[in-house]
Amino acid sequence: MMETTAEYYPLEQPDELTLRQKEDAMGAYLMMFAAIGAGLPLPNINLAAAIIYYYINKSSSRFVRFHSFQALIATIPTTLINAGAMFWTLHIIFGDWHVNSNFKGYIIAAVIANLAYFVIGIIAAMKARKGIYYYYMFFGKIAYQKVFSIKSGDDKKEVPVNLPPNL
Amino acid sequence: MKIKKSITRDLLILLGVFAVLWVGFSYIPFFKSDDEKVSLLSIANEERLGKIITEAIEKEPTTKICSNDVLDSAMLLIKSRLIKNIGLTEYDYRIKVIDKNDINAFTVPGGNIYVYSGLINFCENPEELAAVLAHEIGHAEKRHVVSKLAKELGISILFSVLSGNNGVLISEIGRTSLSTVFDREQEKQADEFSYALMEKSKLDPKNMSSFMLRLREKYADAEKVMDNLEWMSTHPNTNSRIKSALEYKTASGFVSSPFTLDWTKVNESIKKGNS
Repeated sequence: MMETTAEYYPLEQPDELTLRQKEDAMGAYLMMFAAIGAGLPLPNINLAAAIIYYYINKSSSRFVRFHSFQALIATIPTTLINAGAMFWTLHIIFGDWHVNSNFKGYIIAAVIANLAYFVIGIIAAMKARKGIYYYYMFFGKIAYQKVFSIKSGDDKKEVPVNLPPNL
Repeated sequence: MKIKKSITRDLLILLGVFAVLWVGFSYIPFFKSDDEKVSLLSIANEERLGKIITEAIEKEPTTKICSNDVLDSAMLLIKSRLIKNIGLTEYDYRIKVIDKNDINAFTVPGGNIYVYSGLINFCENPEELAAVLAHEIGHAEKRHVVSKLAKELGISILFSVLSGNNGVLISEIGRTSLSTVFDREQEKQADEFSYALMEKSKLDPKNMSSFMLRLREKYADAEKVMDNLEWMSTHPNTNSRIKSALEYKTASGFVSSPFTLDWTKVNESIKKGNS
């Protein structure tokens, strides 16, 4: 169990979130699938789209930031795996590499990884739409750390105080 | 710290799952390529298969094995020089001469090599024949022969031949051994193997290029066609093979030690026939 007292900002609950925030959080995952379609031959397009989406929502609520950051970092492994598959395939087609059982095994493992990424992405999008936090294994914890941990300088930030005019 | 541990554990699990999937699927025989399936056939079984095939080849009425004292001792001399320098080998090589005018040599499973008398006559010296034999040994050592048969006929056919004598299948395998060429990569590997083996055996690897040069002259017109089709052809053309043999760099201080054989006498012994 993680210690959440004092070190982390409190989590927003579903009834504290606006519909817009829930839809923006859901969009982080759904946008990825649109980008996958566009970027199939070039796996990096997918990652670029995730980074842009994260920066657009950087000033949004922690709920949206958490989901867009989780969606972003969860894209990295599949991007790398797909880039590896592409690199390997191109060497077979244009170079002197050969199709062997390692290549076939890699492609199948890559397909399974992409399917898992897709299914989990759909689940996370549905949860986000309901205002629920859905934590991916590994990536969920990283995203939580990134968005919710209270950094030492956070409480020292000067918050402007409104005062009445000098009467 | 607790969080870091939990994150690291998660990461290791994810990497582990991917690695297990990759390795697991790589090991399923269904996904193995023809070359890799060959490893399923043990050397002992390959030897058995070779015995069945050689018996079938030699039983054919058109096959006449050439054997006489002069030829046999020359072949033994060349073979032993090469075998001595292979290093560790799992095959017990048998080289036989078939009385036929074609310039050809082929290898069947289990380290059985057949050379046509036409090829021996075509060689200007025993070193050229050694280069051809080293190339054929290369195909056997790298298991190209079984791989080719597995690709052409299917590995299951090879196993079924081993489990029972099927005359039709055996003669089919014999024909495939004779007729089909290896793919470009396999030919290249066998060539590279032969250059290295020639060097170790104190024989000049350039003998392969002199052999190929004369072969090109002989088949000049046919080669012209092949040159234009090189990209499509699976067999590396003679020009690139000559080039690679000429470009092969022997170690500094390499001195060749040619065979002390009366090559004219060997050729004449073939013409005279069996003794």
